[in-house]
Amino acid sequence: MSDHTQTDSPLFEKHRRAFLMRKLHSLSGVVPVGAFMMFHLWTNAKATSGREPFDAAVRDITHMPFVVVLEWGLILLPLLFHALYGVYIAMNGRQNFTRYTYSRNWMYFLQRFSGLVAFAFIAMHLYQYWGQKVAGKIETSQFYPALCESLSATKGGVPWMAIAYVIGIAACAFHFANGLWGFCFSWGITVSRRSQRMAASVFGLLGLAVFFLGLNTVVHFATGESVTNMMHRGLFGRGEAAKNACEAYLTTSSH
Amino acid sequence: MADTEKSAKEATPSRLVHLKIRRQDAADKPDSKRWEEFKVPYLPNMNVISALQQVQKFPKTTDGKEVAPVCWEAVCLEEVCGACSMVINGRVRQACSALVDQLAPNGEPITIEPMSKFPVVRDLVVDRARMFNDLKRVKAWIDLDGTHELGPGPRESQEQQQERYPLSRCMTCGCCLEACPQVNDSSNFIGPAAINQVRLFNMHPSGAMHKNQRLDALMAEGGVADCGKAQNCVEVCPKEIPLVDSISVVARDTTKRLLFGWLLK
Ligand code: HEM
Ligand code: SF4
Ligand code: SF4
Ligand code: FES
Repeated sequence: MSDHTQTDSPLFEKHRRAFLMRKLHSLSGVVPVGAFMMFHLWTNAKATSGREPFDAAVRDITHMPFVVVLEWGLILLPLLFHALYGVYIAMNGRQNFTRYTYSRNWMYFLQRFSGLVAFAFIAMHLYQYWGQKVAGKIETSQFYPALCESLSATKGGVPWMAIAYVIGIAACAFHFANGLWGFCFSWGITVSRRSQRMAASVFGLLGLAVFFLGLNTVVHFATGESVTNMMHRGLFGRGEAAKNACEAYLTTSSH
Repeated sequence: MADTEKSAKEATPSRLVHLKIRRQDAADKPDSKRWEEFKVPYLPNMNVISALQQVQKFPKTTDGKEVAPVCWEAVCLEEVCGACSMVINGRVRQACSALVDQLAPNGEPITIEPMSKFPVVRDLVVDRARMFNDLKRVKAWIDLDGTHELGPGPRESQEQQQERYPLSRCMTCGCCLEACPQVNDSSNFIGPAAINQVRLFNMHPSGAMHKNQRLDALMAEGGVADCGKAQNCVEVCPKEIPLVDSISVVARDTTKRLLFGWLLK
């Protein structure tokens, strides 16, 4: 090992690369990727108040200036970098949670596992909507009915696609929340086990909230209901009011 | 007299300790890896080292084969030297403080393996040289030698002494590296022990003069950023060193150095 005290050496010198890449990976998970995910789930949740607000939000986004630059620069490239480098990191660990069954060691495993699930889910999700849009096969104004159709479809009575979305969103929410915890650790924001425990509670709640936000939207597209509405009317009773846009669409299109 | 005592012992075989030991004849003979089982007489307050001493006295496996005695390392026998780290019943710990009564209260077999993250020298003996090289890599010392009298060093507050003392208890035993999922043959992660030493020496008033050199060593490949936050290290450390606090404190210092040393200077 040579002596590395080159305060005056260039930033991107070879021996500094590994550290910079790790830091960039860690940062990219929070901003822009994590920040985008929150924004994305929030925008999608507008669907639970009907097609109009959802379509309006989609329209606003498609009409943002430099939308292609934003799409690639703030979402796709950082995501791709984070995901690929994340797979590389995950491959370099040796899981030992069967021997050392501490909760943090489980989290270590789950962070990697949820990352891989998120990878598969995001790839599928991008193919279904972004890919079809770029290929010119679907207009953004048709996202709403396409989502209704895909997420309410069942095979043998099982809504497979909705289940895949719930699992994918759960993986992303966990990965994001535990990732924020890790970020606070690896950037030296929480420097004692006490503060780390506190951070775990805070980010645990945040993760649950993020998951619920996504779940609610999936349930809306799958059933025409929202979880909040269902709870309002006393567990899962359907019928009476709340005929919303999605349900209307489903009945008109001979489903 | 002695004879009757002996035959009485044989007639009522006293409690036996059942050991399953992972063996390997030499560093360059990985093919000789194998398990061997031994049953040795129980002695009061026995620990794994004293059980291994019994094996050394009568190196005969349970299937009656005479074998070469098992090799292991131990020095202090009171959990301060760090020589006797082994994987006992699947978990790394000090053999000298692993009590047979706790491991096998009802005569269960006790499995003993060498640590897996270090090269095996023979049987349970491993080579921890990398840990000492890592200490050199991070300059885990205080430079005092010079060509002229430097005078008395700066004073250290009682408070800081109290904070530093637990960090100084590390005995380079390797348990934390063994349990760390990020330390393995496809990574060159330096591991928690050396990171903790960087915190220890960077806190010292004289040691702090070389703070940035130590930080830079941990901001190279295999440095502190490779920690995956599994926190096994702090759970297994026999000296109860707050390793996770040390890692995040050092992580904070490297973050500052990244921002104000590398980027803005
Ligand atoms: C798509 C596939 C993805 C893979 C394979 C992946 C993989 C990983 C891995 C292995 C880590 C752990 C790094 C470590 O602890 O050393 C990590 C951290 C993180 N990920 Fe991901 N990730 C993916 C997607 C995402 C997404 C979509 C988000 C945003 C919601 C995200 C946010 C984070 C955050 C915030 C961290 C914490 C950074 C840190 O440890 O300092 N990741 N990722
Ligand atoms: S916290 Fe870091 S150093 Fe400790 S066991 Fe986990 S990965 Fe290894
Ligand atoms: S930090 Fe603890 S476990 Fe690691 S080498 Fe030092 S004493 Fe052993
Ligand atoms: S013999 Fe020294 S720690 Fe066990």
